[in-house]
Amino acid sequence: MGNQVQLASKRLFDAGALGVKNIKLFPGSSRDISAEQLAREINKVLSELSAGDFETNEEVSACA
Amino acid sequence: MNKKFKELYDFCQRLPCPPSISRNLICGKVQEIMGQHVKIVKHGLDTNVLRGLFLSGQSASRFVKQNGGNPVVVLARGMPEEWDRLVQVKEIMHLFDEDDEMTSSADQLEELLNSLTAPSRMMSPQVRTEFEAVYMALACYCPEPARQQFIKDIEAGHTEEYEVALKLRLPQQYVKTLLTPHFGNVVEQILS
Repeated sequence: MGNQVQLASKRLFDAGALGVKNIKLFPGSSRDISAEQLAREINKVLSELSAGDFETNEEVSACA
Repeated sequence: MNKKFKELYDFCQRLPCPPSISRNLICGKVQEIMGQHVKIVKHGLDTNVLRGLFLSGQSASRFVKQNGGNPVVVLARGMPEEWDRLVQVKEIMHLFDEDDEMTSSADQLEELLNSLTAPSRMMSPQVRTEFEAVYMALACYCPEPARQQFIKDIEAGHTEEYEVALKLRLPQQYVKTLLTPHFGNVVEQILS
């Protein structure tokens, strides 16, 4: 397991960490991506979510 | 996949199409069926690597507290609208994941990441749901009667995939998937 994959796993699932119960992904356009590259993007997202550094696209609410 | 997906599927089958179906309509219905709000956020993801992701937390977890109790769908910033539409609805389909389909451990995450980057003969439930969610999203965006009509029109030479993609406001490469002969079988298996 590479460094980024290990870091993402610990942040997502370790006791006392985020406690995520499900993560799923939509890969990008490159055919040559690695697990480490995917994990690096996941780690960036986790950092920004934790820091509140994101813009809300929309909060989905029930349609009338 | 949760049997409640059938409720969403049946709802979408009754929608007129064309015109293209609103992602807000689909996402709103998912939330209503599953009784959950979803937070949608934009992030500077490298779209060569990742276009979007779905995250949900154990109850009372730090993730849940951090995000107001809501699952989160993250979309890459700056994607063309057709990609935004597909990625958002595909990711929200993971609200229908059953417990044994969720990626909830280091081993499952490692396997998921490896399966997305290299071919594998074995398909875990986690990996299977990644593919199923794409088919579910496409089935919601294109009710079966419209899909059959598009197939007829293409076979008759009256239209082409690019026009269908524009009408549905979906990426053309996924319209190709939508119009294949086995698409209906895959959706039937998901619904059964």
